[in-house]
Amino acid sequence: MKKYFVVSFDNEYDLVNATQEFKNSGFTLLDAFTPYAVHGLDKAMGLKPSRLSKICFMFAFIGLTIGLYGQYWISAVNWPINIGGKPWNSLPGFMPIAFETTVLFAGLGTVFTLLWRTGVLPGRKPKIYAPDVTDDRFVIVLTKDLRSFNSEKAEEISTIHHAVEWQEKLESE
Amino acid sequence: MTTENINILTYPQKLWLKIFMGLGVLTFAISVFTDPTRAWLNLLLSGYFLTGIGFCGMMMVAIHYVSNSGWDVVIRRVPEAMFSVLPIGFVAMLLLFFGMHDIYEWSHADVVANDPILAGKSAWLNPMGFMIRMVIYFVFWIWVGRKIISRSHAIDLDVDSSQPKSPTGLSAFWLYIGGIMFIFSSFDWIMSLEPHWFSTIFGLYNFSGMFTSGLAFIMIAVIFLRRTGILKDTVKIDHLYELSRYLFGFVTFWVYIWFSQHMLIWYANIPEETVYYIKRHVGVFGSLTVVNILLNWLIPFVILLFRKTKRNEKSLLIAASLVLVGRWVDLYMMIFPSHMETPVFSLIEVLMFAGTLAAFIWVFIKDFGSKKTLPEKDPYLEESLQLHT
Repeated sequence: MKKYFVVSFDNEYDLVNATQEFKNSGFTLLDAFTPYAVHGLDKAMGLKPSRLSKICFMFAFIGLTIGLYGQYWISAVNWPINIGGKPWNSLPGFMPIAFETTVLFAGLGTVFTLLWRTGVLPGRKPKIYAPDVTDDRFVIVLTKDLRSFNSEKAEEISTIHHAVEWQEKLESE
Repeated sequence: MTTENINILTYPQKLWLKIFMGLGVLTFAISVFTDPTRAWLNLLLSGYFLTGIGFCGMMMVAIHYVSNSGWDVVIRRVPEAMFSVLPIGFVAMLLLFFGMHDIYEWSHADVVANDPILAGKSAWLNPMGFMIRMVIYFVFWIWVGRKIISRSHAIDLDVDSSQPKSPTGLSAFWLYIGGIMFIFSSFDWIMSLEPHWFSTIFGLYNFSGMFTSGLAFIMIAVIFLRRTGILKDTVKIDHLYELSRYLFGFVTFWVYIWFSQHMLIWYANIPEETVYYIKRHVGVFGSLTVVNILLNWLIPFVILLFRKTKRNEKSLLIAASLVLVGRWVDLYMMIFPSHMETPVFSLIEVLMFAGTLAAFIWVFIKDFGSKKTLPEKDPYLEESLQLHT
């Protein structure tokens, strides 16, 4: 059974500073929970930049290829039709649809990748470490490793950064 | 409040600016006698270029007031100083009155009388209306724009007097009316070079080019002012990152509009419309069209695609410079094929454009140096200083 150390703050600045200090003192951060996006928090937590934009680019490229090749195959290979005297393989005319498939693939692909990677799929039951985070609290959750977790140090850092409250929690299935 | 005259440029730099301005004026003065059509086309290009830059300066200020954005406060004085170039654009465009007959076919009464299409358009396209509209555009842009700027400065000047007036409403007014005027100005000045041809998206096409070149100028100016140390403490790389995202978006917007105009005309294939692109797709003009797209979209797009390059001064300088040169090529492609069979490019074009740029930099630096470089009492200043991206 895992144990967590949950610290709540009432503003974002304390949260970012405390996060930084927890990180520097060698604690294992599980995550930080905030009511809204806090700038600079990812840096304080030491998170790597998201790789989602690369996924987005790949999906966009696949969409572009499918859009262009699909139209080429339909209108120049499989069933050539003379439209207004234009050549069968009319690239400028293919552009709008290729653009749309690019956007469609990139958009849907990115969203579903994000849902899959973060596990926020429909029907998932959320784990709530501190109910107040859904209102106005800023919460840091530390993983409490029994051997090396220094509770005194953690409480000290929490006090310095004006934490509102801290508590230990057990993972309840 | 005192004005602080900061010496941004060194003496030799100022001298070079003066030399280039003088050479530009001299080139124009000589070539207007030797080759009047070319001289006037060059003046039109320069004047329109400067007008676009000045317009973009005010537009950026107004957009940020209307959208209530906070990040731009530390660089607000840069687009404000850019706006001060609009009077020079005004003078250049007013001079066109004397060259109108050399470049605008519709300004000849006898030609219009024998041409049913031009006669039908003469209610809009006539010398009198052309000049009156030009004056209305510029007076509105400059007069209302100065009011918006003075309200921003009033916040700084008034220590404890009455509540300063908000520039937001006026900005919305300026954007709405001024934007429509910009569209009409591009119809008047550029599209009417070929009066038989028309394109309803032409104003938007020019708008997108104006936006990208203005953003490129803001970016170069901010990087330069950071390097000289004036904005070093206040402007972070995050502000440049915001600007580069703007630029990234709007170079793509430019090619989107360029392609929209091109594809619809290509698809419909109506002779009165395709005549415009036939001139621009054969010979050397044809290769210039490719260069135009490379400079204005493809190369800046690839450069600005990555987060790392968007946060690097050097790569931003390269992208912004390419966009600026691209704007010149873009305007060249709009203006010159109307009167030239093949592209002309020699010392006349180079010197007149160099003179234009020198005049712009001169006015910009002068205006920027005569005011406080930071809106110190702006309510959003703190938010802007704290920008994280």
